[in-house]
Amino acid sequence: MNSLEAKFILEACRSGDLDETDPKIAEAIQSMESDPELSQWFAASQEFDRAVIAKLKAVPVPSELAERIRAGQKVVAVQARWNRREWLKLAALLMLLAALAGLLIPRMRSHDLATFRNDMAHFMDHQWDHAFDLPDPDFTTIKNWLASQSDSVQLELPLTLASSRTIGCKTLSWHGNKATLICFVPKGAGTVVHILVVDRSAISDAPGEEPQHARLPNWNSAIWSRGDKTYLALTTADSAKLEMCL
Amino acid sequence: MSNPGIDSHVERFYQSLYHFALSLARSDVVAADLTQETYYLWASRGHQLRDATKVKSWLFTTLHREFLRRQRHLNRFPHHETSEVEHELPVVSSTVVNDLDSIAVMQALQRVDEHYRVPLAMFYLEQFSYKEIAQALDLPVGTVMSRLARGKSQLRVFLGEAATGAAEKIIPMTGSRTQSNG
Repeated sequence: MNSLEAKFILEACRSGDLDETDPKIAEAIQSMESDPELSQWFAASQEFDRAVIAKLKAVPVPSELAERIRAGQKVVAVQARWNRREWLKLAALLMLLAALAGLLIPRMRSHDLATFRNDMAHFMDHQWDHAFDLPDPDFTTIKNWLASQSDSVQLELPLTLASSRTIGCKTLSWHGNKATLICFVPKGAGTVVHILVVDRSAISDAPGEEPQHARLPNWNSAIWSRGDKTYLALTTADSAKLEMCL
Repeated sequence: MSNPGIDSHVERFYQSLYHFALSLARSDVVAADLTQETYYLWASRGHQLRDATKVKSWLFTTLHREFLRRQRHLNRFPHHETSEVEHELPVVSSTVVNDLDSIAVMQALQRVDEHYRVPLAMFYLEQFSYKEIAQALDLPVGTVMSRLARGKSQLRVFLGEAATGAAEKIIPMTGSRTQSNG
């Protein structure tokens, strides 16, 4: 084995874990023992590796990344529990319905943020028939129509969304709370951004103004509050494009 | 959390995974997204992994697969791998690396051909051995050794260029000062 061949093999090794049971490495070590220049080269090569490692590890990591990862896992954990106990819960619900037959009155209740996010994603995935109460490409028309339906809809959306073309809007009921779906087609997003709006008071742990991002099975999501409303954005666009819209 | 100890896996690996993703994707936003996606997949499928010692390998392999899956939608990477060592490995000292800032070193790594960059990033960022890399990427050990050597060779060239570029940005000031003072 010449010096160049030995270097080629030693490049893949660290001084602490030279596997002498590997014949090629054993031969390279032997070459190093009889060639001080090669030995010196290996020491310098290891020093080079350590310097590269130190620099790469010093590259800044987004400060909120760990939190975003954990938030995404909570979403999965909540869904996993639902899947495991789906039938049990359904049975319990049927019993409750039977017991309260005729007495059930829709009541407004607050639920947590994760429930809102999951319920809305589930609605979009499985329940929505893609029909709108008002299909219209103009957000102002939609705002006016919503205001004519109820005086409690005062929307404060980011400018990028508010100035984007719309597809339409739909109102729905979430645990007795009114929720509104508006679908936007922001420039550059390449796909639709669905905004679901609910009263801030309907969510027990309503977020602040800073959007909280989470990855759902079929969606990238962001949720934030502004004024007396909480907004949930769902899109199939990547998180970078979603962030551009907010 | 449904997976015991999952928080510790986030804490232990998310920075290395982010750096690995950054070396692949060359975009901090995409890197963060890939890292998140990897942990999302871990949270939903990680329980299938019975051997806890394989977590590190699973996370890196999954992130790499996810990166490749996304890349397939964008373009294809023709791969040209030669079987011989073409030239002497270039010499760049650790001092050169120490004098560069961390972003410049990451940018040099990002310039390395993808086939060499993936094993090289695993080698550097989470101290994978060449055998672990071979197992994770399902490659023969000899191929991994070859890719590590060539990857380092390319990295040294790019680090050398980065160091030269940095040096050229330093503007000597002595001439004009001397004249105006005189």
